[in-house]
Amino acid sequence: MISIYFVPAFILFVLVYSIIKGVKVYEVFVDGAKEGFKTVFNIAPYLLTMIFAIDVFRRSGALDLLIKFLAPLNNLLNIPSGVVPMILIKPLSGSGAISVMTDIMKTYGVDSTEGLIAALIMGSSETIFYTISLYFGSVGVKKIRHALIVALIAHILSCIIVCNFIWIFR
Amino acid sequence: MVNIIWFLMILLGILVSFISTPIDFTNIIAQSAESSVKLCISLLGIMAIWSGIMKLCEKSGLIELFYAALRLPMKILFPHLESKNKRALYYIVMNLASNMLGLSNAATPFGIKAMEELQKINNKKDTASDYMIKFIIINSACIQLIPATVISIRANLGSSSPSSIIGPTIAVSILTLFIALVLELIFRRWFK
Repeated sequence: MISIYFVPAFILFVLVYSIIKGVKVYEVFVDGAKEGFKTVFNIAPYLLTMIFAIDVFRRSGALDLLIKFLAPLNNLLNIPSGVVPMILIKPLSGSGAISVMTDIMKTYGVDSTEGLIAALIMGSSETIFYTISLYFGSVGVKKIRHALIVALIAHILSCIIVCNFIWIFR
Repeated sequence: MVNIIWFLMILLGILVSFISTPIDFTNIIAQSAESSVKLCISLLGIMAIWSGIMKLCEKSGLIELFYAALRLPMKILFPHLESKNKRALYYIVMNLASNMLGLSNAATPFGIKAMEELQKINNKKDTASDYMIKFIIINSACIQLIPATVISIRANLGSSSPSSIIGPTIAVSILTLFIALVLELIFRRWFK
Protein backbone atom coordinates (compact mmCIF):
# COMPACT_ATOMS: atom_id res chain seq x y z
CA MET A 1 0.00 0.00 0.00
CA ILE A 2 2.85 2.38 0.83
CA SER A 3 4.14 2.20 -2.73
CA ILE A 4 0.87 3.66 -4.09
CA TYR A 5 1.51 6.94 -2.26
CA PHE A 6 5.24 6.83 -2.45
CA VAL A 7 5.75 7.66 -6.14
CA PRO A 8 3.40 10.69 -6.25
CA ALA A 9 4.77 11.92 -2.91
CA PHE A 10 8.33 11.64 -4.20
CA ILE A 11 7.54 13.48 -7.45
CA LEU A 12 5.69 16.19 -5.51
CA PHE A 13 8.64 16.59 -3.16
CA VAL A 14 11.10 16.95 -6.07
CA LEU A 15 8.87 19.50 -7.82
CA VAL A 16 8.23 21.61 -4.71
CA TYR A 17 11.90 21.56 -3.75
CA SER A 18 12.88 22.59 -7.32
CA ILE A 19 10.36 25.48 -7.38
CA ILE A 20 11.65 26.75 -4.01
CA LYS A 21 15.20 26.62 -5.35
CA GLY A 22 14.12 28.69 -8.36
CA VAL A 23 14.51 25.96 -10.98
CA LYS A 24 12.56 26.39 -14.23
CA VAL A 25 10.78 23.10 -13.78
CA TYR A 26 9.17 22.76 -17.19
CA GLU A 27 12.28 23.54 -19.21
CA VAL A 28 14.52 21.36 -17.07
CA PHE A 29 12.09 18.45 -17.31
CA VAL A 30 12.09 18.72 -21.12
CA ASP A 31 15.91 18.66 -21.14
CA GLY A 32 15.84 15.52 -19.02
CA ALA A 33 13.25 13.86 -21.24
CA LYS A 34 15.48 14.55 -24.27
CA GLU A 35 18.35 12.73 -22.59
CA GLY A 36 16.01 9.86 -21.71
CA PHE A 37 15.11 9.35 -25.37
CA LYS A 38 18.76 9.43 -26.43
CA THR A 39 19.67 6.90 -23.75
CA VAL A 40 17.11 4.37 -24.94
CA PHE A 41 18.43 4.66 -28.50
CA ASN A 42 21.94 4.01 -27.20
CA ILE A 43 21.01 0.92 -25.20
CA ALA A 44 18.52 -0.57 -27.70
CA PRO A 45 21.07 -2.60 -29.73
CA TYR A 46 22.68 -3.98 -26.58
CA LEU A 47 19.31 -5.05 -25.15
CA LEU A 48 18.20 -6.64 -28.42
CA THR A 49 21.45 -8.60 -28.72
CA MET A 50 21.20 -9.96 -25.18
CA ILE A 51 17.47 -10.69 -25.31
CA PHE A 52 17.97 -12.56 -28.61
CA ALA A 53 20.44 -14.97 -26.97
CA ILE A 54 18.24 -15.38 -23.89
CA ASP A 55 15.15 -16.15 -25.99
CA VAL A 56 16.99 -18.67 -28.19
CA PHE A 57 18.42 -20.34 -25.08
CA ARG A 58 15.07 -20.51 -23.27
CA ARG A 59 12.60 -21.25 -26.03
CA SER A 60 14.68 -23.89 -27.80
CA GLY A 61 14.49 -26.03 -24.66
CA ALA A 62 18.21 -25.66 -23.86
CA LEU A 63 17.38 -24.17 -20.45
CA ASP A 64 15.13 -27.13 -19.58
CA LEU A 65 17.88 -29.51 -20.68
CA LEU A 66 20.38 -27.70 -18.46
CA ILE A 67 17.98 -28.01 -15.52
CA LYS A 68 17.74 -31.79 -16.10
CA PHE A 69 21.48 -32.02 -16.56
CA LEU A 70 22.12 -30.33 -13.22
CA ALA A 71 19.79 -32.65 -11.27
CA PRO A 72 22.49 -34.88 -9.71
CA LEU A 73 24.39 -31.83 -8.52
CA ASN A 74 21.34 -30.55 -6.66
CA ASN A 75 21.18 -33.50 -4.32
CA LEU A 76 24.83 -32.97 -3.51
CA LEU A 77 24.30 -29.28 -2.71
CA ASN A 78 20.99 -29.86 -0.94
CA ILE A 79 18.96 -27.76 -3.40
CA PRO A 80 15.29 -28.81 -3.66
CA SER A 81 14.73 -29.85 -7.30
CA GLY A 82 11.66 -27.57 -7.56
CA VAL A 83 13.64 -24.36 -7.18
CA VAL A 84 16.36 -25.10 -9.77
CA PRO A 85 14.44 -23.39 -12.61
CA MET A 86 14.17 -20.30 -10.40
CA ILE A 87 17.92 -20.15 -9.76
CA LEU A 88 18.66 -20.42 -13.48
CA ILE A 89 15.97 -18.08 -14.82
CA LYS A 90 16.42 -15.19 -12.38
CA PRO A 91 19.64 -13.76 -13.90
CA LEU A 92 18.18 -14.09 -17.43
CA SER A 93 14.66 -12.74 -17.33
CA GLY A 94 12.65 -10.71 -14.83
CA SER A 95 9.22 -11.57 -16.21
CA GLY A 96 10.27 -15.21 -16.66
CA ALA A 97 11.34 -15.33 -13.01
CA ILE A 98 7.98 -13.98 -11.85
CA SER A 99 6.10 -16.71 -13.72
CA VAL A 100 8.48 -19.44 -12.50
CA MET A 101 8.11 -18.20 -8.89
CA THR A 102 4.31 -18.18 -9.19
CA ASP A 103 4.44 -21.74 -10.61
CA ILE A 104 6.59 -22.96 -7.73
CA MET A 105 4.26 -21.36 -5.17
CA LYS A 106 1.21 -22.92 -6.80
CA THR A 107 2.83 -26.37 -7.04
CA TYR A 108 4.45 -26.61 -3.60
CA GLY A 109 2.39 -24.07 -1.63
CA VAL A 110 3.19 -20.42 -1.06
CA ASP A 111 4.50 -20.96 2.49
CA SER A 112 6.38 -24.19 1.65
CA THR A 113 10.17 -24.40 1.72
CA GLU A 114 10.24 -24.22 -2.09
CA GLY A 115 7.87 -21.24 -2.16
CA LEU A 116 9.93 -19.40 0.42
CA ILE A 117 13.21 -20.03 -1.39
CA ALA A 118 11.70 -18.85 -4.69
CA ALA A 119 10.45 -15.64 -3.04
CA LEU A 120 13.87 -14.97 -1.54
CA ILE A 121 15.66 -15.53 -4.85
CA MET A 122 13.16 -13.23 -6.58
CA GLY A 123 13.68 -10.38 -4.14
CA SER A 124 17.39 -10.62 -3.49
CA SER A 125 19.01 -10.51 -6.91
CA GLU A 126 18.68 -8.47 -10.06
CA THR A 127 18.12 -9.64 -13.65
CA ILE A 128 21.90 -9.68 -14.10
CA PHE A 129 22.07 -10.09 -17.91
CA TYR A 130 19.65 -7.19 -18.40
CA THR A 131 21.44 -4.89 -15.92
CA ILE A 132 24.81 -5.57 -17.50
CA SER A 133 23.73 -5.03 -21.10
CA LEU A 134 21.80 -1.92 -20.08
CA TYR A 135 24.48 -0.16 -18.04
CA PHE A 136 27.55 -1.12 -20.04
CA GLY A 137 25.62 -0.55 -23.27
CA SER A 138 24.72 2.98 -22.22
CA VAL A 139 28.40 4.03 -22.26
CA GLY A 140 29.52 1.73 -25.08
CA VAL A 141 31.76 -0.45 -22.91
CA LYS A 142 32.22 -3.81 -24.63
CA LYS A 143 34.92 -5.44 -22.49
CA ILE A 144 33.12 -6.01 -19.21
CA ARG A 145 35.96 -7.96 -17.53
CA HIS A 146 34.75 -9.92 -14.48
CA ALA A 147 31.40 -8.11 -13.97
CA LEU A 148 29.14 -10.87 -15.30
CA ILE A 149 31.02 -13.83 -13.86
CA VAL A 150 31.25 -12.31 -10.36
CA ALA A 151 27.55 -11.38 -10.30
CA LEU A 152 26.57 -14.88 -11.51
CA ILE A 153 28.78 -16.80 -9.08
CA ALA A 154 27.59 -14.59 -6.20
CA HIS A 155 23.99 -15.28 -7.20
CA ILE A 156 24.52 -19.06 -7.33
CA LEU A 157 26.50 -19.18 -4.07
CA SER A 158 23.87 -17.12 -2.31
CA CYS A 159 21.11 -19.44 -3.64
CA ILE A 160 22.98 -22.50 -2.35
CA ILE A 161 23.35 -20.87 1.07
CA VAL A 162 19.65 -19.94 1.12
CA CYS A 163 18.64 -23.53 0.27
CA ASN A 164 20.80 -24.94 3.06
CA PHE A 165 19.86 -22.43 5.74
CA ILE A 166 16.22 -21.84 4.89
CA TRP A 167 15.23 -23.32 8.29
CA ILE A 168 16.45 -20.10 9.93
CA PHE A 169 13.59 -18.20 8.32
CA ARG A 170 10.85 -20.74 8.96
CA MET B 1 33.74 -13.27 -21.17
CA VAL B 2 30.42 -11.95 -22.41
CA ASN B 3 31.41 -13.08 -25.94
CA ILE B 4 31.78 -16.67 -24.81
CA ILE B 5 28.57 -16.75 -22.74
CA TRP B 6 26.55 -15.10 -25.52
CA PHE B 7 27.98 -17.52 -28.10
CA LEU B 8 27.32 -20.58 -25.89
CA MET B 9 23.70 -19.58 -25.24
CA ILE B 10 22.94 -19.36 -28.96
CA LEU B 11 25.03 -22.43 -29.87
CA LEU B 12 23.30 -24.60 -27.25
CA GLY B 13 19.92 -23.16 -28.17
CA ILE B 14 20.25 -23.98 -31.86
CA LEU B 15 21.78 -27.43 -31.24
CA VAL B 16 18.99 -28.36 -28.81
CA SER B 17 16.35 -27.12 -31.24
CA PHE B 18 17.77 -29.59 -33.83
CA ILE B 19 17.51 -32.67 -31.61
CA SER B 20 14.30 -31.93 -29.71
CA THR B 21 10.80 -31.72 -31.10
CA PRO B 22 10.71 -29.54 -34.21
CA ILE B 23 10.58 -25.87 -33.26
CA ASP B 24 9.88 -23.06 -35.67
CA PHE B 25 13.16 -21.27 -35.19
CA THR B 26 12.36 -18.32 -37.44
CA ASN B 27 9.35 -17.74 -35.24
CA ILE B 28 11.53 -17.55 -32.12
CA ILE B 29 13.76 -14.99 -33.84
CA ALA B 30 10.84 -12.89 -35.01
CA GLN B 31 9.16 -12.91 -31.61
CA SER B 32 12.39 -12.15 -29.80
CA ALA B 33 13.08 -9.16 -32.05
CA GLU B 34 9.54 -7.94 -31.58
CA SER B 35 9.66 -8.24 -27.80
CA SER B 36 12.97 -6.31 -27.69
CA VAL B 37 11.50 -3.48 -29.71
CA LYS B 38 8.36 -3.46 -27.54
CA LEU B 39 10.56 -3.29 -24.45
CA CYS B 40 12.52 -0.37 -25.89
CA ILE B 41 9.36 1.50 -26.84
CA SER B 42 7.90 1.09 -23.37
CA LEU B 43 11.29 2.13 -21.97
CA LEU B 44 11.27 5.29 -24.12
CA GLY B 45 8.32 6.82 -22.34
CA ILE B 46 9.13 5.83 -18.80
CA MET B 47 12.81 6.67 -19.19
CA ALA B 48 11.96 10.12 -20.58
CA ILE B 49 9.69 10.86 -17.60
CA TRP B 50 12.11 9.67 -14.93
CA SER B 51 15.01 11.37 -16.72
CA GLY B 52 13.00 14.60 -16.48
CA ILE B 53 12.52 14.09 -12.75
CA MET B 54 16.19 13.18 -12.43
CA LYS B 55 17.17 16.42 -14.13
CA LEU B 56 15.07 18.30 -11.57
CA CYS B 57 16.84 16.51 -8.70
CA GLU B 58 20.12 17.48 -10.31
CA LYS B 59 19.35 21.15 -11.01
CA SER B 60 17.69 21.79 -7.65
CA GLY B 61 20.65 20.37 -5.74
CA LEU B 62 18.55 17.58 -4.25
CA ILE B 63 21.11 14.94 -5.22
CA GLU B 64 23.76 16.66 -3.08
CA LEU B 65 21.38 16.53 -0.14
CA PHE B 66 20.85 12.78 -0.57
CA TYR B 67 24.56 12.24 -1.02
CA ALA B 68 25.39 14.01 2.25
CA ALA B 69 23.20 11.48 4.07
CA LEU B 70 24.97 8.45 2.59
CA ARG B 71 28.48 9.82 2.28
CA LEU B 72 30.26 7.47 4.68
CA PRO B 73 29.24 4.07 3.21
CA MET B 74 29.91 5.48 -0.28
CA LYS B 75 33.43 6.52 0.68
CA ILE B 76 34.10 3.00 1.93
CA LEU B 77 32.60 1.29 -1.15
CA PHE B 78 34.17 3.66 -3.70
CA PRO B 79 37.51 4.83 -2.27
CA HIS B 80 39.05 8.00 -3.81
CA LEU B 81 36.10 8.44 -6.18
CA GLU B 82 35.01 11.60 -4.38
CA SER B 83 38.16 13.47 -5.41
CA LYS B 84 38.08 12.07 -8.96
CA ASN B 85 34.45 12.61 -9.88
CA LYS B 86 31.98 13.65 -7.21
CA ARG B 87 29.03 13.76 -9.59
CA ALA B 88 29.38 10.03 -10.23
CA LEU B 89 28.85 9.43 -6.52
CA TYR B 90 25.73 11.62 -6.47
CA TYR B 91 24.15 9.48 -9.18
CA ILE B 92 25.27 6.21 -7.60
CA VAL B 93 23.60 7.26 -4.34
CA MET B 94 20.38 8.19 -6.15
CA ASN B 95 20.42 4.92 -8.10
CA LEU B 96 20.89 2.79 -4.99
CA ALA B 97 18.31 4.77 -3.01
CA SER B 98 15.70 4.40 -5.78
CA ASN B 99 16.40 0.68 -6.03
CA MET B 100 16.06 0.27 -2.26
CA LEU B 101 12.69 2.01 -2.35
CA GLY B 102 11.54 -0.23 -5.21
CA LEU B 103 11.49 2.58 -7.81
CA SER B 104 13.36 0.61 -10.46
CA ASN B 105 12.15 2.94 -13.23
CA ALA B 106 13.67 5.90 -11.42
CA ALA B 107 16.83 3.95 -10.67
CA THR B 108 17.70 3.28 -14.33
CA PRO B 109 18.31 6.90 -15.50
CA PHE B 110 20.38 7.60 -12.38
CA GLY B 111 22.37 4.43 -12.96
CA ILE B 112 23.05 5.36 -16.57
CA LYS B 113 24.14 8.87 -15.52
CA ALA B 114 26.47 7.27 -12.98
CA MET B 115 27.97 5.11 -15.72
CA GLU B 116 28.46 8.19 -17.95
CA GLU B 117 30.28 10.02 -15.16
CA LEU B 118 32.43 6.96 -14.43
CA GLN B 119 33.22 6.70 -18.14
CA LYS B 120 34.66 10.26 -18.03
CA ILE B 121 37.40 9.15 -15.62
CA ASN B 122 37.90 5.78 -17.33
CA ASN B 123 41.28 5.44 -19.08
CA LYS B 124 40.26 2.69 -21.50
CA LYS B 125 36.91 3.70 -22.98
CA ASP B 126 35.96 0.27 -24.33
CA THR B 127 36.82 -1.55 -21.09
CA ALA B 128 34.96 -1.53 -17.78
CA SER B 129 36.76 0.28 -14.94
CA ASP B 130 37.01 -1.07 -11.40
CA TYR B 131 34.47 1.50 -10.20
CA MET B 132 32.00 0.49 -12.91
CA ILE B 133 32.26 -3.18 -12.02
CA LYS B 134 31.78 -2.48 -8.35
CA PHE B 135 28.75 -0.32 -9.12
CA ILE B 136 27.17 -3.03 -11.32
CA ILE B 137 27.85 -5.68 -8.70
CA ILE B 138 26.24 -3.66 -5.92
CA ASN B 139 23.34 -3.07 -8.27
CA SER B 140 22.97 -6.79 -9.02
CA ALA B 141 22.53 -7.63 -5.34
CA CYS B 142 19.39 -5.51 -5.52
CA ILE B 143 18.82 -4.49 -1.92
CA GLN B 144 15.13 -3.68 -1.64
CA LEU B 145 13.53 -2.45 1.55
CA ILE B 146 10.09 -3.62 0.40
CA PRO B 147 9.95 -6.35 -2.28
CA ALA B 148 6.48 -5.20 -3.37
CA THR B 149 5.97 -7.61 -6.30
CA VAL B 150 6.86 -10.68 -4.24
CA ILE B 151 4.64 -9.58 -1.36
CA SER B 152 1.63 -8.99 -3.59
CA ILE B 153 2.02 -12.38 -5.32
CA ARG B 154 2.36 -14.10 -1.93
CA ALA B 155 -0.77 -12.30 -0.73
CA ASN B 156 -2.69 -13.32 -3.87
CA LEU B 157 -1.77 -16.97 -3.37
CA GLY B 158 -2.97 -16.93 0.24
CA SER B 159 0.25 -16.81 2.24
CA SER B 160 -0.33 -16.76 6.01
CA SER B 161 1.91 -13.71 6.32
CA PRO B 162 2.90 -12.22 2.93
CA SER B 163 5.10 -9.42 4.27
CA SER B 164 7.15 -11.65 6.59
CA ILE B 165 9.42 -12.10 3.55
CA ILE B 166 10.81 -8.55 4.01
CA GLY B 167 13.40 -9.30 6.72
CA PRO B 168 14.76 -12.50 5.12
CA THR B 169 14.92 -10.81 1.68
CA ILE B 170 17.04 -7.96 3.06
CA ALA B 171 19.27 -10.47 4.89
CA VAL B 172 19.80 -12.53 1.71
CA SER B 173 20.46 -9.38 -0.38
CA ILE B 174 23.15 -8.26 2.04
CA LEU B 175 24.65 -11.76 1.98
CA THR B 176 24.69 -11.76 -1.84
CA LEU B 177 26.28 -8.31 -1.86
CA PHE B 178 28.95 -9.38 0.60
CA ILE B 179 29.81 -12.52 -1.42
CA ALA B 180 29.92 -10.46 -4.62
CA LEU B 181 32.25 -7.83 -3.15
CA VAL B 182 34.65 -10.51 -1.88
CA LEU B 183 34.58 -12.31 -5.26
CA GLU B 184 35.19 -8.99 -7.02
CA LEU B 185 38.39 -8.47 -5.01
CA ILE B 186 39.57 -11.98 -5.89
CA PHE B 187 38.65 -11.88 -9.60
CA ARG B 188 40.03 -8.37 -10.15
CA ARG B 189 43.58 -9.77 -10.44
CA TRP B 190 42.72 -12.16 -13.28
CA PHE B 191 40.75 -9.68 -15.38
CA LYS B 192 43.03 -6.70 -15.85
